[in-house]
This record gives sequence, C-alpha cells and structure tokens, in this order.
Amino acid sequence: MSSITLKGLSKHFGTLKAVDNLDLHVPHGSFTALLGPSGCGKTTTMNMISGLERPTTGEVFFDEQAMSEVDIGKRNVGFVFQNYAIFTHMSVYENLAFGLKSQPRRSRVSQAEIDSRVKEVADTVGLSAALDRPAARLSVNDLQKVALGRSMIMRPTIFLLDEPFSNLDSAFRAYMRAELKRIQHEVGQTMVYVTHDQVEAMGMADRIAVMDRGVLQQYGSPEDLYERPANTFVARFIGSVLNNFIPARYADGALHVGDGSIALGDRRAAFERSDPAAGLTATIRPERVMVVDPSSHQATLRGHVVLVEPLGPKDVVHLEHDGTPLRVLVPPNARPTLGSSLGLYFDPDQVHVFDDATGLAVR
Amino acid sequence: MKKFLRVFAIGLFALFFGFPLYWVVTMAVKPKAEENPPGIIYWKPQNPTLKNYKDVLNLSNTSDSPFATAKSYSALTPLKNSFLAAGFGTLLALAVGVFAAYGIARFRSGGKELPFQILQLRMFPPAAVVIPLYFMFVYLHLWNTLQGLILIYAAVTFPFVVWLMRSFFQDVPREVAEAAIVDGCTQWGAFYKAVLPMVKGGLAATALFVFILNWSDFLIALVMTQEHWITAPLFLNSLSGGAGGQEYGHQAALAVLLILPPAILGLSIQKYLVRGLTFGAIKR
Repeated sequence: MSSITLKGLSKHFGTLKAVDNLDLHVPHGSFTALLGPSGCGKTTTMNMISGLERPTTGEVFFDEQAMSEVDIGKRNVGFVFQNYAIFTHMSVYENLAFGLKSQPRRSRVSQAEIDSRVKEVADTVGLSAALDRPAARLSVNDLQKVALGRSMIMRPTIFLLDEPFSNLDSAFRAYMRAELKRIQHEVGQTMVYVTHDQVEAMGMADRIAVMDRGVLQQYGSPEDLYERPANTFVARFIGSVLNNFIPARYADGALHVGDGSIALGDRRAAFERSDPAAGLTATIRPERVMVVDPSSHQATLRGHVVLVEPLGPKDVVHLEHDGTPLRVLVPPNARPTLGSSLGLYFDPDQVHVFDDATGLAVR
Repeated sequence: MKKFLRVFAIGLFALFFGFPLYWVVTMAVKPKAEENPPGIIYWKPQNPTLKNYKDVLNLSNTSDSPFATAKSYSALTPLKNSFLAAGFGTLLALAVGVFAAYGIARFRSGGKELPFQILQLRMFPPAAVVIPLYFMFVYLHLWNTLQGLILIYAAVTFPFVVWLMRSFFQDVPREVAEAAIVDGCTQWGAFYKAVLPMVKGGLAATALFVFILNWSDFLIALVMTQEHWITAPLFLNSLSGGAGGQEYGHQAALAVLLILPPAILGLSIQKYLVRGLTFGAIKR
C-alpha cells in the first residue's frame, strides 16, 4: 500500500538540470506513465524514486514517509531496467530467486518458500517451462519476462519500469502491454512506467506525467492530455498523427487563422486578458477537422492536397494553406486527388490556442 | 590457387612457430651424443631417453650431479620458488587490481588521470628500475626473499590487471549491479554475486596472462635472488657442463617442464578463455 509523492525534487549534474523542481503525487494502485523525449529526466526521476540516485534537493515520500534515509534495498520497490539487467551467469530460477536469497540472513525466507514464490511468479509471467534454462540462452522476449518476474518476487508495493518494452519486436510489445496491464490489475500495486512512446503511455496508463528538459509539462489522465494540452509541447508530443499548428491572431472577439476566422463565444474573456498583439498558435486534431465543400461559406480555411498517406482505417491527407502544412483524417472512400482544393471547417470547441510567447494554453 | 597460397602461408607460419617447440621437445629426450655432435644434425632422436628429466630433477642419483656450476643440484627447489613467486604474485596483483579496475570502471575513481598513471608504470621496462629497487629491497631486507619477489611481481603486473579488468567491467551494464542493489544486496554483495561472476571469463584470461608474465620472468629474479631463492628460468640458465659447454638436453627437459604449468592452466580454463582472450573487444 504505497502512494508516491515527490516534493520539489531536483537532480543537477554539474550545470545540467536533469530534473528541476518536480512535484508529483502518484496515488496508490495507479498506473502512472512518465512520458517524454529522451533526455527529459524521466529515468533520473525513476532512479531517485528507487534510491539509485540521490536528489540534489527535494524529497521522495512513500505514503507519508520520507525516503532519503531509507536504503535502496529496504524501499521495497520492484525495478525493471531498460536493458533488463539479467544475471546471465545464472539460470532463470536463480535470477528469480536472487532477491529472496539476497536478504539479510535473519529475514530470509525458507527454501520451500523460495521455491513456491518463484513458481508463482514464473506462472504469472509465463516462464514456468523455462525455470532451469540458463539466462544467457534466453530470447529477448523471455529476458523481458525474467526482468518482470524478478521485480515481482519481493512482492513490492511499488513497481518502477524503465522503458521495459523498448527492445521488443512490435507484436510481442503489444502482447506484453496487455500482459502488464493484466498483472498490474492482479497485484493491484502502484506502477510507474517510463516511456518515450506516447502510444504506449496513452494505451496503458491511468495518469501520464509529461516531462521535457527536466520540467514537468502536464500531469493528468490520457484524455486530459489529449483534449486539454497545457502547452504547445504537450499538444505536439501527444497524438499519433501530428497535430495541426496554425498561426493565429485575436481581433474583435474572434480568432483569425489564414483568411478565415473562428468564433470564440465565451472564451473571449481569456483572450481579452492577454496581450492582443502577441502572436498566437491555434491547434486542432487532424481527426476533428471537418472536410466541407471549398466554395461553402462554412469553410474556415481552404487548402490544396499535397500528399495522401493511407493508414488503413483512415487516410492522412496533407494539405497546404498559405505555406502552413495541415493534416486531416478522412475515410479511404473519400480520398481526394492530389492538387485538389478542400474546404476545412474547425469546430471552435475543438480548437486550442497557445500564446507564442509562453507556449501556454490561453484559457 | 588462392586456396593453395593460403594453406601454404598457414603452413609456413605453423612451421615457424612449431619447429622450435618440436626441437625443444625432441632435444629433451636425446642422449648426450645426439645433442650437438659436430657435422651431424639429428632431426629426430635416435635413442630416446628420459635421462635428461631424471638428471634435471635429480631423481637418478643424489651424490653424482652432472652439473658443475648449477647453483642447486635439483630443479625442484627453483620450480617450487617459481610456483610460489609467480602464483602469489599473480594473486596479489589480481586482488589489488580487480578492485581498482571496478572502482575505475564503475565509480570513475581517480578521475581521468589515475588509469593513465597506472598504465605509465608499464611505459618503461622493469629493467630500468631494477637496480634502484635492488638497493631498496636490500635496505628493507626483502632482497633474496620470497615475499620480495611476490611484491615486485605483483607491482609489475598490476597495471595489466587494472587495464584488462576495467574493460571487462565496462562491458557489464551498470544496471546489473543496480538491480542487485534494488534486490537488497550491498554494494559489495552486488559486486561479488552479480558482477564478478559475469566477468569470470575475463578474470581467467587476465590471471593466465599475468601468471605467464611472472612465470617467465628472468631479469627481475636474476637481480633480486641468489642461491636458495633462484627461480626456474635462472636455474635453466645455469645448466652447463664442466667445461663450460651448454647442457642442451637438460635445458630442453627443464624448458618442457616449464611449459607445462601455463599450458595446463590454459587448457583447464579454456572454456572461459574464448571470450576472455578478445580482451573485451566484443560488446554484448
């Protein structure tokens, strides 16, 4: 039973601020993803939670207890490393049993207990048939399972997974994602999952903390991040088809993009507060753009088709409007011809606007 | 044609390295008359005998030694000295060097300078410092002692241990030690239980390499020992007949005996050597 709270957590390597003043609360039993591009500080954050790195400033709490004076081995965390860190000189069984056998002598469990717990974990991760095999001979997929099993053997209350699936082939990765979600549900413990793959984070996590250059950008449910990005970084990073970014300006109670305008309704107040002269950027998800007749007065913008990228269920149509690239998702049966002109309608409720000076959403 | 040339080249190489070995092994079983008779070369022994081995180990008779100038009548004591000095020298070099290498590889102990400074110890031949060391050792009462020989062998081979083991340790992902620590090991436990077993191939190769260096040393032992503590290579050198002639048969017999320990050691750890001998060139 553990929640994780990070208060003002920073880690500096010389002048580099790997993690800067991070506040985060991971509730008990949640599946939280730390998401961000490589070098954003997510692994460093993870290492500070586990105790492998000591924070420069700030503190890690498990429930109410400060962790800075608690030894790594006593924090009761299960850690899955990106490169698995399998002990290749041991068998699968010995790898799984390693944690139990490494405890101080007085708190060590009996051999029978070790056997039964190794068997139980092997069943959970699907390694029962491979217990006697040397770890050096395992496939990458099985190494992954050993790493996962080894993190479970101590029955930790907190699981930390550092890009555990990045080395797997895509089919097995999809399978392991589902497996991990099942295991998380089964053990019901807190899981923190580091990834740079937003599809993985969106599909698995209850909550996602997006980080960039050591700073937390946004923390919320996958839906929050997708529907209400806090800044341009999140708007750009989340979503499998790149978001539309259109230069905009505010005037007379409406948002002007290209030669069209978007009525703002109740949201006007927020724009009145900000500097009207500042540059703005409007975003709208490609699948939320409606294709209309170019001659229709309903069209917010018109663009000509430069590329069609079939994805299967949908086509991504790349358009250009006045030098601005735009993307729209259309059903394959509505695939337009190259060079043709399309009218695009932006539903005002789907349009998010960001201040160019700060990158923050105007709300 | 290309294949023929390749086989020919390989054959030439094999001959180049193999013939001296053949000559030593056959010389060791030749009777005195076949060793170096004027005008004749015996390509193979005509009347093979084990007399040379028996003489060298002084097994045939104890009173009548064939060697006039040998400092000891049997090779057994020098062989024992060599074993002790090279063996303990290797162990000491490993004991110090392995930990130094782990510290340098994992914790960057000593920064950028220390590893290079350790390597600098090998940038001059040991002969360059053997004379000052001689005076130091005499003063310290380490001259002509086993302890002195062990110390100097360990010091001379320690840089090799550090540099070889450092590259093996660098091949082990740091997460291996971290995983063991998360599982409840101490830093020492993680090193001993998780990291060290993963580099045992490298450790075996390093140990063999260092042992061969110490085992085959001539110069240091020549300066640092006398009489009772001379090593086998010195004894080999001292084998000569009464008229000042070389005892080729006896020398060859002792040479064969000297080849055996490294060879046996090498064969017995062969399965670790294959990876170890790449000296960390292959990354996992």
